[in-house]
Amino acid sequence: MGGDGTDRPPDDEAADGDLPRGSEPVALGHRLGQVCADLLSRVAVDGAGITVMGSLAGGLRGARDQIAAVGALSSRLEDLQLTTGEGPCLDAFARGVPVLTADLAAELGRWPGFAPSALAAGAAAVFSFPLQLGVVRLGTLDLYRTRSGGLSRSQLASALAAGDAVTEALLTDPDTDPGTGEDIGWLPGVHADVHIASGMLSARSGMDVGTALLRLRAHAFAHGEPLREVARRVIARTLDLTDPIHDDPRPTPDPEDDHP
Amino acid sequence: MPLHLAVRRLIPTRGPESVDETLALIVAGAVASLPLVTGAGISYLERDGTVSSRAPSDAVVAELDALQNTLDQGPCLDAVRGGDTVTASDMSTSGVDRWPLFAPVAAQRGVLVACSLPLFNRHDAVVGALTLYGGHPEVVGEDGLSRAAMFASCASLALHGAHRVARMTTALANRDAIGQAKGILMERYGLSDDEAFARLVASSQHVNLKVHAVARWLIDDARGAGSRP
Repeated sequence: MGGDGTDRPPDDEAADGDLPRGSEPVALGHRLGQVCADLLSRVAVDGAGITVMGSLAGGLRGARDQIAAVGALSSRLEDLQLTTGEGPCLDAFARGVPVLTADLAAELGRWPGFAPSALAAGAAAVFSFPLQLGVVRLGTLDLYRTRSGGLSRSQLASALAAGDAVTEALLTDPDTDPGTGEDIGWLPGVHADVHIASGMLSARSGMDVGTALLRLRAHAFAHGEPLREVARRVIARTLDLTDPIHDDPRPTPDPEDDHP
Repeated sequence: MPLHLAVRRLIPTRGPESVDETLALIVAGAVASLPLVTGAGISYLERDGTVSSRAPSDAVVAELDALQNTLDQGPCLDAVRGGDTVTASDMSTSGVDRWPLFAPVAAQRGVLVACSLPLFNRHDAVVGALTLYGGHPEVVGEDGLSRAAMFASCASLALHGAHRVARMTTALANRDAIGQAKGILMERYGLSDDEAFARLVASSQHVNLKVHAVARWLIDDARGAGSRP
C-alpha cells in the first residue's frame, strides 16, 4: 500500500475523533496532540493525555511514555502515576476497561497514593480508556476535569471513538513500528531524566537501576515533589539519595570535599 | 468447544500476552474447536528466514513439525513458502508423492490428514503457518476447510497484535536502558547527556553491538560496583 492518502482529500481536522491525514505526512505525535485538543471541547474536559506502555509490569518499571499531553495537569498526572505506581491509567490498562472517576475526592481509598496528590494538583475527575484492539493493549487515553462530574453518554461515546482512532493510529502508523531497526523517534521520552537519574544513582552507589528508580519514586512521593524534578536534582548532583537514612528533602549543599 | 468461543479466547482478558502465549492460545483454540483435528502446531518464520516449530499441541505434532524442518519438506513449509493453504487428505498415498520422506513418517504416526494455513501480517506477508493434523479426511473437507480458514484469519490478527506490542515493549525497554546507561557514564566520567550518548554509540560501533546491548552491559556492570555498597 504505497501512496497512502494520495487519492482522497485531506480529512477534516480531527473530525469525529479521527486522525487528520493530509497529503503531507504530519508527525504522529502532532496528530495525536490534535486529537487530545479536540477532546477538550468535545468531551468538555480540561486536559487529555495519551500514555503508551508495552505491559503493565513494564509500565510500573517506567517503560512508558506520554506521547501526547494537552492541559496543565496532564504531565503531572502521568508523573504521579509513575511515582505512586497506581492510578486510573494503570487500572484501565490492567483491566482493559474504561476507568471513570467522576469525583476523585470520593475515591481516596481506591488510590491512596495517587488520589490525594492528584487532587492537590487540581484534578477533580479522571477518566482513563484503554487503547486496545483485540489482543493488543498499547496504553491509555487519559482525560481529567478540574471540577467533578461524570461524562454524558455522548461524551463517553466521543472518548471511546477517539481511543479507537488513537489505537488504530498506533497500530498502523509507520512512525510507531521500530521494525528491525531501533528507530523510536516517535517517543518523546517524557521520563528520560528519570532513567538517566536511575543510572547515575546506580553508578554512584552500586544499587541496581530498578532499586535506584524506587529510591527516586520514594523520595518524590515522600516529599510531594514531581518525579522529574527529583530526577533533575539528582542529575544536577544537588540531591544524593544514595543513603536511604539521610534522605534530605532540601537540596544538599555542594560537597566541600570528595571523601570516599 | 464452539468456534466462536475459541476465537474469543484468542483475545486474552487479563492483559496483553507475549507472542509465545498467543501462539499457544491459537494452537489450543484450534484443537478445541475444529472438528476432528487431533493436533496442531505453528511453523513460525523467524527473522533470519528459518522456520521453527512453535507451540505444538502434543509430542507427535512436535516430532512431525520438527521433522519437516530437518527434511526440508512437508505441508508446513509449503504453506509458509507458498503463502497458500496446503492440504493433504492421505499421507499414506497422495502425500507420499509430494513429500516422499515426510509423509510415510506422518502416516506411521496415524496422522493421515494435514492442513497447513498460512498466517499473514497486515502487509499480507506470511509470518508462519498453522498446521492442523488429524486422521479423518473431513478435516480437509469443504466445511472443515472453511472453519479452519476463518480461525486462521482470527489467529493472524491476534498474532499481528502480539508482534506489535512486543516490538513496542522492546523499543521502550531499549530506550530506558540507553537512558540508564547514559546516567552511569555521566556519573562516572562527568559527561553531559549528549557526550554520554556519543560515547555509547562509539562503544557500540567499536565492539559491534547494538547501542542497547552495550547499555545493558553497563547497567549490569554498575550494579554492586559503586563506591558504596
